[in-house]
Amino acid sequence: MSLLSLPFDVLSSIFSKTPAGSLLSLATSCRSLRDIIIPEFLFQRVALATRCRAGLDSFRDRMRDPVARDAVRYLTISMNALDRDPHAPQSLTIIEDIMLGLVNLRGVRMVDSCNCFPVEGRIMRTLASLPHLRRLHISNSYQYALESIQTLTSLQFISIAPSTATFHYPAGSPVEELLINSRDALEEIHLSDMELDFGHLTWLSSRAACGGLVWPRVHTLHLRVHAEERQEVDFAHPFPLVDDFAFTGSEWAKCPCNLPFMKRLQFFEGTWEAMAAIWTINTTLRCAALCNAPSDAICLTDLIKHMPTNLRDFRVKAAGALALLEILEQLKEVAPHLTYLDVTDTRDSESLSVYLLQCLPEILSPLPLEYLAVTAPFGEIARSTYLSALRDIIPSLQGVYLNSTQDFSYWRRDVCVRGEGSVGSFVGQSQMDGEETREYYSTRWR
Amino acid sequence: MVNLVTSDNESFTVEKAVASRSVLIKNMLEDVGESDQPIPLPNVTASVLKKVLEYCDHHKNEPMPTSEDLAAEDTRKRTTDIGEWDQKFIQVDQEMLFEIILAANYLDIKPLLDVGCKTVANMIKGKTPEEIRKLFNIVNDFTPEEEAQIKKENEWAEDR
Repeated sequence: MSLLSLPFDVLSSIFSKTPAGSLLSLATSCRSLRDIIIPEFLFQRVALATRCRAGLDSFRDRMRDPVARDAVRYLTISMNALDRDPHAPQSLTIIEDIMLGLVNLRGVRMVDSCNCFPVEGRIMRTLASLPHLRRLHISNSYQYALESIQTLTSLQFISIAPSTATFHYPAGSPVEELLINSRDALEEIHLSDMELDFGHLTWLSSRAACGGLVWPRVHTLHLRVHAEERQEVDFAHPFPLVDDFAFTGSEWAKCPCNLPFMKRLQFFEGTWEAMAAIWTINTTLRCAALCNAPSDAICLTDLIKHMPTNLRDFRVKAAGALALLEILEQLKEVAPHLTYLDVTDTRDSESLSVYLLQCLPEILSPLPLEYLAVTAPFGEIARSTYLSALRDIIPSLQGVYLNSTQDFSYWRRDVCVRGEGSVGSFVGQSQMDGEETREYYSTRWR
Repeated sequence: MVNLVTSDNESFTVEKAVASRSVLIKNMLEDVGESDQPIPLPNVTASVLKKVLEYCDHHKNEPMPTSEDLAAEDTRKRTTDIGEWDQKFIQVDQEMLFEIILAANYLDIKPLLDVGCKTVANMIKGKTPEEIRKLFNIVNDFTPEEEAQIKKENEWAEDR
């Protein structure tokens, strides 16, 4: 049997999982594959970089073919260093030209944005004219460039990160308008890098005069607290379906109206104060991310005691290796089913970090861990010794991410060489593959 | 228990929970109700069904994927990573891999089909056209000029 004898549906599923460069290799291997893959599949997911002029030109030429043009569904644009690029105006015109013809475009991802208003403004105006746009992902965006897209009503997914980390988004900002206009379609909201005035938005939601704004389909809501968090922020009414929630505030968890909301959550990322409130009433939580472990020992013991037994995925940031060890030592008792663990030491002490690394395999050995991510200032360590300790002591472990704050590396257990009686070994992964493996294990329970 | 009969006339008796991982069989069971009638599977051979049932047995206690999960496949979880057990399970020769994929498609076992397709996609990833021809036993029917032309026209396509 050959690859080409598989049914079209199956081939389609395989091709949609293959990145463009490899797909091109496949299409270049013989005529029959070329005829299936080009034009349709090759053009489903396109990534362009303004830096690469030859790539842009060849893509624009290909877009003269209407079949190829109609096939484009997802577009990633990298605008790295566009503000310092003398050919920026031409590159931008090409991108605008290309985008205007893509009538079936469902999703746009803008990465390495240029932090330059006129440029972004042009791209945004083009985006606003795309009828089928469902997913929008913008990193490093300039607030007022977003004005032209605020009228979009069909977005299901938005993820926007502002150009300045602590940028204020006042009531009535374009992002707020966008959330209101797309409220019937939205399913995922990722705005954890901007300070949106959510108190204002939910206040609007509670007022009958505004029709009691509700986002009926949102299941994932990631937000950052606004400087003036109002105590009465009510998430339960406007977001009846959310089960994946991230928020940096603590006051909201004291509000009785949020009880049903807190009970429903499957994933929560937030402060220890809010986490403590959730853990005491929600025993079904599967993933928890703690942005600040309490430094007070009594608070810490009390918090860990309430950890839901069913927890599968735990992420924790703490100031110092000793505080982390304090928490990790108790995991085998309180969360025996944990498969994903992500620890971050936010304090700058290399020797203690190295000590943390040395203790980890032994402490975590009773857990059925599949993935371990460690971020700590451990500097230069003998990675191979460390990885072989992890490999031998935690047989269930499939992947490891090590971030020394100066550099990072991804490792994956090689099961191909893992015969009978052998535990295999950890082999280094490229950043792309490593991110993919981490993504797989970190979204397993969500 | 459910009785399944393969194309080469071998019969397998398995738990209902195992057989029902196949949406095709699950629907058949619901249609006929309680019955001892064997279910014929004319598109699956015994050696392939044995392998498929091994997968179904291992995953019998997991929740069935919802239609929402399947729709989200396109956008939300677009990773080609595979869990450890599945990875070992799918380490078979290419002929068997394609047979498993065909059977999963026919029997409507979405998660198994997904594992199969990811495995093929991972085999393709990062390879040159020549390596791909060797891998899948494909005969090159392009002239060198044609091959160069395809590459030139699609300079934009990279594994990013």
